[in-house]
Formats: sequence, structure tokens, C-alpha cells
Amino acid sequence: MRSEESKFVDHFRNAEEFLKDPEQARWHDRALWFVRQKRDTAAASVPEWEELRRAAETIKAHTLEHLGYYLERFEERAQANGIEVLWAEDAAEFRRLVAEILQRHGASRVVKSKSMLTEECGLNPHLEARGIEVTDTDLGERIVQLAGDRPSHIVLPAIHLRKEQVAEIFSSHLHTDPSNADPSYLTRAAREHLRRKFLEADAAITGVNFALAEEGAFVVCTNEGNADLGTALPDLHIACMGLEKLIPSARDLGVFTRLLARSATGQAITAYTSHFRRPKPGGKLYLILVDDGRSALLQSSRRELLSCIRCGACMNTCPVYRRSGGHSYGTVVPGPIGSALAGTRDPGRYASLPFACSLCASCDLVCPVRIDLHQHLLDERQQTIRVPEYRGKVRGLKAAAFLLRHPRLYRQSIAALRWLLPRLPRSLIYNRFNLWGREREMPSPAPRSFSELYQARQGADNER
Amino acid sequence: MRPTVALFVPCYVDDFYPQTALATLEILEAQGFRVEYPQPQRCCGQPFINNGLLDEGRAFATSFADLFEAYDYVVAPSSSCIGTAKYRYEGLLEPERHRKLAPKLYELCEFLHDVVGPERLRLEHPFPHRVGLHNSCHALRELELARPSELMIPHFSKIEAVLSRIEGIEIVHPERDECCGFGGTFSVQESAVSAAMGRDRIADHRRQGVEIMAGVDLSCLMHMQGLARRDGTPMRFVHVAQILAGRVDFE
Amino acid sequence: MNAKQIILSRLGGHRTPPAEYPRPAIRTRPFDDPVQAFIDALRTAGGEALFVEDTASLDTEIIRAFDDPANIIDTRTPVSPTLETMERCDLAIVEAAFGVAENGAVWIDPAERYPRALLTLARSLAILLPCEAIVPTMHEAYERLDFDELAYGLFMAGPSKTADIEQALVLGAHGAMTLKVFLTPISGQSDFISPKEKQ
Repeated sequence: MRSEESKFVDHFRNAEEFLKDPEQARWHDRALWFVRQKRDTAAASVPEWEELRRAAETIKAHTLEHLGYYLERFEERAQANGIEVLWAEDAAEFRRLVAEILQRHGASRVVKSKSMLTEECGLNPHLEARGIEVTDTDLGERIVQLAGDRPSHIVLPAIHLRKEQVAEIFSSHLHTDPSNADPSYLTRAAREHLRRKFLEADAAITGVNFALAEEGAFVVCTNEGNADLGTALPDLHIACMGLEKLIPSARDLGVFTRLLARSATGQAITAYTSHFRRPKPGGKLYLILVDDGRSALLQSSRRELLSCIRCGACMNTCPVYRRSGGHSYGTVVPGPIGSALAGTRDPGRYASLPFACSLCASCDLVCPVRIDLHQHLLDERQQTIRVPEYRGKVRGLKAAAFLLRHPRLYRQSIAALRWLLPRLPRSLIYNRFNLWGREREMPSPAPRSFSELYQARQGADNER
Repeated sequence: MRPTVALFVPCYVDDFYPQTALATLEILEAQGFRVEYPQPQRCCGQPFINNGLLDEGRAFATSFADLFEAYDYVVAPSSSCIGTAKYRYEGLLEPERHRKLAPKLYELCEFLHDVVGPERLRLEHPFPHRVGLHNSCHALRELELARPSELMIPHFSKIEAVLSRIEGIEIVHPERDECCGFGGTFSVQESAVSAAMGRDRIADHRRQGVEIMAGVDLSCLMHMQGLARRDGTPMRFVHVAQILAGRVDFE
Repeated sequence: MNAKQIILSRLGGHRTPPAEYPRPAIRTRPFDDPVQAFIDALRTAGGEALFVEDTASLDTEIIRAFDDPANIIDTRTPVSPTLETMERCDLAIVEAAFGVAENGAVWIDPAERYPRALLTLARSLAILLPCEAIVPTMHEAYERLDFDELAYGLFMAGPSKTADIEQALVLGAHGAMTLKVFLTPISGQSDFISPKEKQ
């Protein structure tokens, strides 16, 4: 685990690899751009859309400002409702707590609905090592789980796989017809397979989309209904949330439930928006509040990143994400928000991610809570440019800065280039160090620069 | 007294695209402004600021302010350089100095739209062509020269408002108002993705039956021109200033 | 120190109660025809809304709409079906407290009247909703909700669905494969004012 953590993630190489299959890359780009377009249509149907985004930004900023207060309030109210609230300061403590609860209740088969937090904390391998079977019940997550793969998108976990690949995965695990890649057929097969898992489960684990301090309740949003079915059958429900999922009250939910699905998939609302306030009669409901670096983030200049509601809109709109795939980021959460968060965790390992961004700022404008994502990525470059991998780049930039600061020297270099370029053989210009020339032709310097033309023009004016 | 406009010519424009700089000078003069070209001009510092090298960035920001702060207006045929000076010098210059400098800075179309006004523009050269407009990111999402497709606000475009005053021009929009993938050093550090993005933009314009692409940022156009030349794609690239000043010469 | 104390101490200065919380007020635009908006939004969500002109014929219409389902669980009177019955259930009939015009969602609170699992185990759902109980947006929806008595409740917008395989929409991922809302005439018991009366 350690060595894995220190390994440098080279986004450029990973992206290059992804683009080696142009057909697949084009499909990925178009599929996600289509989701972005659906988001546009859904947002346009709400006249007060921009007002909603500002409200969401305000509510989140307010909650974060008083996060400690709201957390205590939430705990108090939730306990009063019969929810057992536990706190975990890091991933290890979180994993330990979940395992302990399951073992105490003798639970060995768990159904889990989507929770990025459990991915972040490596919950599945931890439980599996203790003989507990964890079944991811979100279809996309189940596909990648069966394939021994990882989600590549937080809302569309299997967007990197084509239906033929899913057919192959299902045929070896669910014994479906390998030649039938019809999404309806495959979804039916998964439904039957997962229905058995639901019926056999001893416990359900869910994430949390919004926790309500005032009501001591929480909300889980899904389209498949897997959180509802999962928690409805077994008597044990463990809900897991990062500290930042809190909002003051249910009266703030109007803003977020209107923004979330529209931003995520272009739906007006998720099919299931489920509110949990009390355990089932005779059941037990635990809620684990996880810090795992969030309190540190709160104290930093990156605090705003805690406002994220995990809609994935920044991924769908990101021209780099669409053309490099979620796995190229080497993180649990990819794309713009993932890059920004990764830099706060391990700037050395993830140094390439703030540079996997053309600074187009599209992400800022689709973000339902108006996080200035591209600004955060830009700011993080101040740290990440210092890693050993970028020593050459820094040297080059400093040389360029020196040249550009000394106009006479700069002029002479350009003059040299102007003389040299037409005389050099093409193979020498387009060498392997010419990164620009890998993909494109070089522009050629004009015979006379504007400064020279201007000088001549002024001279002519004066003579007149 | 006529207000004086200082012309800022981005470093690479000076040497690679002097016709654009000349066109900018002419179009400003044609509107009745006294235009000065103060020297020596240096890079705005964008490549350094965008790579987190703030010490270098600060040096360029200071020389930019030294050179331009005395003028009423500073105009450049580039939204990304203007965007840098307007928004990224914050924290690099003394706050008061930056506060005074920022409102004087204009991208050319922004200046023609906001200061001169599209109806009062004096434009003499028709351009009877179908032109695909490339909306650069700094123009759209930083300087807010047009409505980006992400925002649910009424449609507007200062660039189009200016450009549409040209006689005979037919302005065409691509399907996506997406980034071309230049992104400064992004173009070399992430060359694979950068090239894929650029090729997609060119293909989008081609699908609209466009063979001339115009924009307000030569950096984007230079990148796409390099790709089109490599691929042998018939697409010509021109800065909006050249269309406005009638200085289009496709070799 | 336990984890809670450690985390709260890390949160440091963020523990003060807010002096005030100016909850942003959103100005929503009312729908000209909220019922029609609800019907359209529900259709987009993969569901269907049907008008019931006469309450007397409600049951017949439900049966007809679902093509003669064999195993029906009707929750208009409290029921306690077994897991096996729910698993075999072709159609569950449930009542919704209100609907939301902007997204076609209905608020369902099973309370003690039937098990939560019925809502996802039943193959099809017939949801009864008084025509006048449709609020414009989620803001009004949450103003309506009373959390004091709530254990579990949900907004359901159309049937269960997924698009996880190549973005192709498939209805019936885990829960109900079809969902139809029966809009019933004004019951006289509701505290809802119909939008037309309002004007």
C-alpha cells in the first residue's frame, strides 16, 4: 500500500495510452458530452438555475464555517432518533468500526450501495479479508467489482466499459449468453443475480448524500433503488459519510435535490430520494462520521473543495477527462474535483494532475456549488511543479523567462531561429525533444516582426 | 483630448503574427484613437504564472504595470494575455496598483464593443466569407465576452456583435464551445490530449462547412493551424482583428 | 481523547453556533398547469400518470392499467405481507401524500402501514395521488414535510432505472419495473388548495 502511494501518477502517459484506442476514446468523449448536454437541457428548464447554484454555494460555505457546531447538533438529534452515531478520524478507524459492527452482529453478507467514501477508505478489501462478502449493488459498481476493476467515474462507474465487455464479464460470473450484449438483457440478469444477494444479506451499507443537522436524518439518492431495497431487508444498516455531507436542515434540501440530479445526469431528480430518520422496527441503524483529512482541508485554502456534492458534472464537461478516461488520474475521485482533492492529500504522487487541465474553466461553471475548480488546480501547481519529475520543465521555463526578460537577447534568438529554421532538415526540427512538433507543425516566424514594421511605419510618418 | 490607447502585442504575436498586431493598430486608429506602442514590451508572464512560478510571474507583472499603467486604455489582440494581467496579477502586484490597472485592460473586441460601441464602429472592409468563430476559453469564461454554454443566462456575444458589423460576413458556430486544447504548456505537457481536443474542434468546424476559422486568440489558432497542417486538413485560420482591418492574406 | 473529541478539536474555530443563518430564499416561478407539468415530468422519468374520473371505478382502472396482475398487495388498509408474498407481488397499490410538478416525484411514507421492502420488491407500483396535491417544486415539497413523525420516507420519480451499461436507459434495475400514478379527483379531506382555486 505504501509503495503504491508514493508512485508518481503520470497522467500524460496514462492519457496517451487511453487515446491509443481512438474508437473507444471517441465513444467515451461523446457519451459523456451527451450527459453534459442533458445537464444543460435540465438546467435550462429551471429559470432560477443560477440563483440555485449561488444558494447552494452559500449554504455549503455557511455549514463549513460552523461545521463543528452542526456536527454536534446532528449527532444529538440523530441519537435522539435512535441512530447510533460513531466517529472515525481516519480510514483505518473507519474500516475497523465497520468490521466490528458487522462482526458483533454476526453479519457475513453485506449489500452496499454506492459510497465514494468506502472506496476512498478501502473498505471492501478490508472486510473481504475478514471473511465478509461485500456485494456492490449499484449496477455499474457491480460490473467493475466482478471484473476486478475500479470505477472510472463517480456517477457512471462503468463508463469506460463497452456493452460487449460487460457481456463477457457477466457470462463468466453470471453465466449469461456471452454473445448477447443487449443492455436490457444484461440488466435483467444483474437484477436476478442481485435480488438473491439482497434477500440473503445480513447487513446493508450505504453512503449519505445529505445529512440534516436539525432533523438528525439523512438522505440517500439513487436511480436503481438499491439503497432502499438493501436497507429494507436486513435488520442492520450502516450509513457512512464524510464530515462535509452535512447541511443545516431539511429546508435546505430543496436547493440540493433540485441541483444534484440535473447536474449529474440531466434528470430532474433521482428516481429514489430516500430519507432515513429512524431505524426500522427491531432494526439497528449506525451512522459513521468520517474525517480522513477533511478537518485539515477545512483549515486550508482548499476548504471550498469540501462543498462538493459528488454530482460528477465537472467530469462530464472536462475536455481532458473525456479524452483520457477516469483511470488515467489514478485516484478514487477523478476529473477536476478529483485532481484538486488529490493534490491536498499527496502532492508528490499526484503532481501531474493539476497539469492535466487546460484551464478552460468549464468545470467551474457547471459546478452546482460553484467551486472555483480551475483556480484550485492553478494554485496547486505552485507545489506540484517542485517535484523531481518536473525539474527539466522548471529549468526550461526559467530559461524562457530569462530570455523573455531580456529583449535584446530575445530578439537575437528569434533572429537566429528565423535564419536557422528554413535551413535545418525536417528530421532535425521534429526531433523527439520537440514536444510541440510531436503532433503539430511549427509556426514560422514572419520575415519582419511587428516591432520592426512599427519602427518603419513611424519612420515613414516622420519623413512625411 | 483624445484618449490614448496603448497597444500591447503579446510576445509570440510580435514575431509570428505581425499582421495581427498591425491590424489591431490600424483598427484602433480608424476609430479615432491615438495609439501608442510603448517599448520594450515583454511577455505578460502567463506561462510562468500558469505553472506556479510566481517569482518569474511577478517580474513580468511588474514590468507590464511599469510600461502600461500611465495609459487610459491598454488593448491587446488576445484574451488570454489580457485575462492574465486582469485577473492573475492579483497578489503579484501591490493591491492598489492592480486595482487601478485592471479596469484599463481590454481585449480588442471587448474594447470595440464596450468603449466604442458596435453601432459606432468604423469598418471599411467587407469579408464575404463563411467564418467559423472559435470561442477561446479566456474570452468566454474569464473575460466573459460571450455566454458560455454552461451558464443559464441570456445569450450574448461581444465578439459576434463586433464581427457581424463586417459587410458580407457569415458567422458560423461549431456544435461545442469547447476548449481547443492549447492551454499554454498544456499543449506540450499533455500533447496527446491537447492534439485530440484540437482535432475535434477542427472537425466540428468542418462539419459546419467552415474553411476559415477566426478567433481572438492566436495561441489557440496557432495550435489548431499546426494540427491542420500536419494532417493536411483544408482549414485557414485568421485573427478577428485582421478581418476587421481588411488585412487577410491567405498566402 | 476519543475520535469524536479529536475531530472536534481539529475543527477548532468552526464550532461556534451561527449568530444567524440567512437561508437563501429562492424565487420560483409557478407553473401555469402544475398537473400537466407533473404528468410530463413523470413521463420523462419513465412513469405514467392516469386520470381517474370516478373514484368508484378506481380499482377496475388499476387492474386494467396493469394487465390483470395475479398477486396484488393493496396497502390502503394496513397489511403485513411476508417476504415471500412481497417477492411474488406483481402489483402494490400505495398512497402518496403529494407530488411535485417539476420532476414527477411523489412523496411516499410507508410508516407502520406496510413494510418498506414492498416499495422495491413489487414488480409494479400503482400510486394514488389526489389531483390537487401537487406542489410546484422541491422547495414547497420540503415545506410540506414534517420530519417529527418520520422514520423513513422517499420521493419516488418513476420506476427504478439504470443507464450503467453504455448509457442505455433500462427501466427496472432493482425496484419497480413500472410505475403508474393514478390522479384521483379532489377528496375533500386534503388541506391542499388547487392551483386554480388559488387564482
